[in-house]
Amino acid sequence: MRPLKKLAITIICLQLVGCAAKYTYLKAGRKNVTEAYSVSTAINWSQLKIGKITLWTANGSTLDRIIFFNGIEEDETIFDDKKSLKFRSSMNEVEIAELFIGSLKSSGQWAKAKMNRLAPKAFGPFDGFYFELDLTSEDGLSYKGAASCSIIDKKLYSILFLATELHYHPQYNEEFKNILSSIKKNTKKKSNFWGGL
Amino acid sequence: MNRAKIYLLLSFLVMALGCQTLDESSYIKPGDKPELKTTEAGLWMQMDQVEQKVKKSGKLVTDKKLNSYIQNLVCELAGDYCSDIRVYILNVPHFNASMYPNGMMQVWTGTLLRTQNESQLVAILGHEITHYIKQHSLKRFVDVKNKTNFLSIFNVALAGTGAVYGIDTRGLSDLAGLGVMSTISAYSRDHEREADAGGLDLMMKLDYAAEGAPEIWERVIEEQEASDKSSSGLFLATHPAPDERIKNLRERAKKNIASKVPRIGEKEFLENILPHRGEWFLHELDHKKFAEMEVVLKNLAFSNLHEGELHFLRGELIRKKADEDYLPKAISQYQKSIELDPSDPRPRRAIGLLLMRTDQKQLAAKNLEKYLELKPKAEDFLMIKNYLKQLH
Repeated sequence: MRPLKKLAITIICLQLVGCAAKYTYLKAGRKNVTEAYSVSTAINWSQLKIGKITLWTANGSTLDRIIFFNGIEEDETIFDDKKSLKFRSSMNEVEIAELFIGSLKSSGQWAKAKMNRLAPKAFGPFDGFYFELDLTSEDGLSYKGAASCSIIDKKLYSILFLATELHYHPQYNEEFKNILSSIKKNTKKKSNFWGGL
Repeated sequence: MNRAKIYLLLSFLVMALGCQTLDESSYIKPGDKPELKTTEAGLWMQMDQVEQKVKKSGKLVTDKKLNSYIQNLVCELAGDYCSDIRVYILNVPHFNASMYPNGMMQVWTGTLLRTQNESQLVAILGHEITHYIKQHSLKRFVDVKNKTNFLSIFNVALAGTGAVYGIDTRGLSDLAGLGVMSTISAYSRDHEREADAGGLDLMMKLDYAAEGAPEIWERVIEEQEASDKSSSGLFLATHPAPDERIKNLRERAKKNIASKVPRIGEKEFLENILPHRGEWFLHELDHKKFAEMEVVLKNLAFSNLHEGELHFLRGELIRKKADEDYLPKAISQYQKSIELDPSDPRPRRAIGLLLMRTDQKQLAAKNLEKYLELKPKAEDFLMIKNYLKQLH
């Protein structure tokens, strides 16, 4: 192969790799989500990490997604954007649930977002709260979801599940609940997050 | 003749042959649809596809009463064109309305939030109807097509000339691009002026107060000036400057003296808008546009139908902005809201949650209990019950 042709193919390959989001394969088992806790999952996922957000999806994030918000701090936004309101550690549970709804709406992905059944509910061994979500995408597709949250050391930790109301929500809702019930506090600070990948 | 001159001559010849012209004074007749094989038919087909998407959009406001109210206003203004124009209200938190060549009109909730009465609203609707009747979209489409065709050919010719003479012509190409874009924008601004004038004529035929038209632009200017960032961008590039519009509209309004008492239509407007106004305002507040929302709130019309709402919304603005010492200021607004409208559960919850942070625990509990009494199926019922358990 001529050097120029080799170079062109290499550039195209690099561009293709650069364009795709960097998903990794995640096998079922116990996983350290952050320094604060670990969860257990019974199925395999594709995983994407961006800043303090970790996303798991089984069929593509437009169909189903579990999002871990790993320690949002004072004056940070939930989605690390500039448009939505900032988290304050003095917020109560109602305000945090409203912050989630407002941030989802201002993200531009959702035409409608409504919170339901906000209630106190433990986040594994931590105090926490839980609420359900009804969402409509920009193109009119209905989604359902739920979020479990906790403030640990003044930082917001949350696990959010969103999936299309038809098919994918019923399919993964049970696994989401299993993940929530598997939350375990990490006793030591670990540096090798997502060990075993 | 040298090669460069041949390139240029050929390019202008091709451009001239390819240009479609459209008479500026042309307009669409009621019930008219474009003939197949015309430029307009292609444009309509594309817009019909867009309209199908809009019908399914998650942003579509489906409230029947509100839709029927706006569609009726459009029909009254449009007269014989009534059945040609279909209105879609979209839940978008910005000031805008738009008209498409196939008769689809979009009105954003941000516009409805910023209008105070029917005379202001019909000024916007009349403006959009004029765009439709005068076929401004089609004229602009043809203009853009011609000018960008010219630009492509000009750039090829310029590159050819540069290659022949060994000159870097990129600067000239950029300059030509800028020139073409400015003529497109100027052309668009002329259409906006025509739509302003046409819209004013339509509303005055129905005896609406002509003041409504400049008033709405005064709101836009005030909001833009309050904004800490420039949000005018493309809007001002393709529209006349708002102060110019105000001046033109006022001058035109003076020439048309109403024969009857001018219609303002505040009561009818508020009856239809009030059930949604708070929700739209809070939606925009989530976008952190605090300075702009101060202006919007100041200009929201007071109504006996919902006396306390303006204070509740001010309380929410103060709470979400969360400046220093926001707590007593927000509480004071919620308190005024409750005094004016004791049946509204929203300020009860808001004040209860804020008082929980103070030593006024009993007052917090009293307000949260009242909130649950007024809204027994509240989405946060269990959480509020839990707070009450802690407060007692």
